[in-house]
Amino acid sequence: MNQETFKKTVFVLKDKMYRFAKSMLMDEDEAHDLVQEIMMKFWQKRSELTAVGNLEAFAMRCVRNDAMNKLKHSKVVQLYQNNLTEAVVDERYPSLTKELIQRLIAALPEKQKLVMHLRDIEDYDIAEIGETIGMEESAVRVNLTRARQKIKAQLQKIFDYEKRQINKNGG
Amino acid sequence: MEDKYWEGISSLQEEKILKTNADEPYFNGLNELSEEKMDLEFDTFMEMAEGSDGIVDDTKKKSKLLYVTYAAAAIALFVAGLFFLRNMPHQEAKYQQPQFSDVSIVPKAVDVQESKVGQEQPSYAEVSKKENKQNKHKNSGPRSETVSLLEQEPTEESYVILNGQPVYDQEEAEQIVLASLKIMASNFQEGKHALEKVKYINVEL
Repeated sequence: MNQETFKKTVFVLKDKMYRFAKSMLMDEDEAHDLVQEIMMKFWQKRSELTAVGNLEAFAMRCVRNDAMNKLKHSKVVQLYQNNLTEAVVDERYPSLTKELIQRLIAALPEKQKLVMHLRDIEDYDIAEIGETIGMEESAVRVNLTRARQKIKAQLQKIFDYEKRQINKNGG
Repeated sequence: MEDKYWEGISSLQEEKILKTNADEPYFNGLNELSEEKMDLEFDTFMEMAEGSDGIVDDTKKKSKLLYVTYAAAAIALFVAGLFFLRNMPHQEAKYQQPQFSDVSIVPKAVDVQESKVGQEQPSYAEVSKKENKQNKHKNSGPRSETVSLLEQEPTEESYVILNGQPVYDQEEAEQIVLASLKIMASNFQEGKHALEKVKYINVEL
């Protein structure tokens, strides 16, 4: 595999890989470093990559595995994510930005988070999600439904809070 | 369509419409998230990749050198161990009597009680005979030639008697005693080594 082929087939995946890594690690720099490291490995083993059937699914699996390994070793991030939902609910409610949506997704259980990210941010179909994270299609659907229900509930809390704030200020 | 989305039963097409057309800040947020890009140019990446290739080669060379060093050390240890093991039995079997510059002692078996007249006398007998000859002038009665260390009556009190010969010099006597003790100690040690090699012993009384 030469440079041009690598650029067209592997390097083009960097943005998807980065977003996926960021959604798991909740840190731009760490996500950047992680994807860069994976790209380096891919380049060093570029001859072996030609044997891989679905490169995108393979790359995303690599991101997921490396990110999970990283999370296991960084307790601070783990603790941060565990407390994320409480922080969003209990503290002041910021306006609904992409950062907040990302936080809400990151606060979901592991499988739901992966499924929701791949579906709502990367626009994967159910079969692709199943292949990428090694899950049955039915399980993917269940996890997607649960994830969206939880996000909806969180958003409802935020909207209710904002309404109360508006009424309080108005009254 | 929104309800279908929250229920998780909407299609990809419907979700794309929601993201592009809906005024909901949630869907706009999702859109923004899906447009996020990683700040890394391909040329920059290739420069880093080529640099790391060099580093990788360097570490490979270092690790090869390390392996060669370890292998050489292991072989040297093995050879040294083999040499040591082969020499071990010789060292144990070889016994050297302690040497003294001034005195050399050759122990001789002396059975004082069994010695008789006319028989070949051990070396100490000659010495005692001479002494007896000197004493003949004083004692006229027949005297048995049987040699006994106790019978000897030296004119001066000797420190030690070696093969029937009294030693009057204190230093020489000390050396003789020391040498005797060394011989005894080494004999004990030999016995001890021999016992260590005994695996099975059967004693019948």
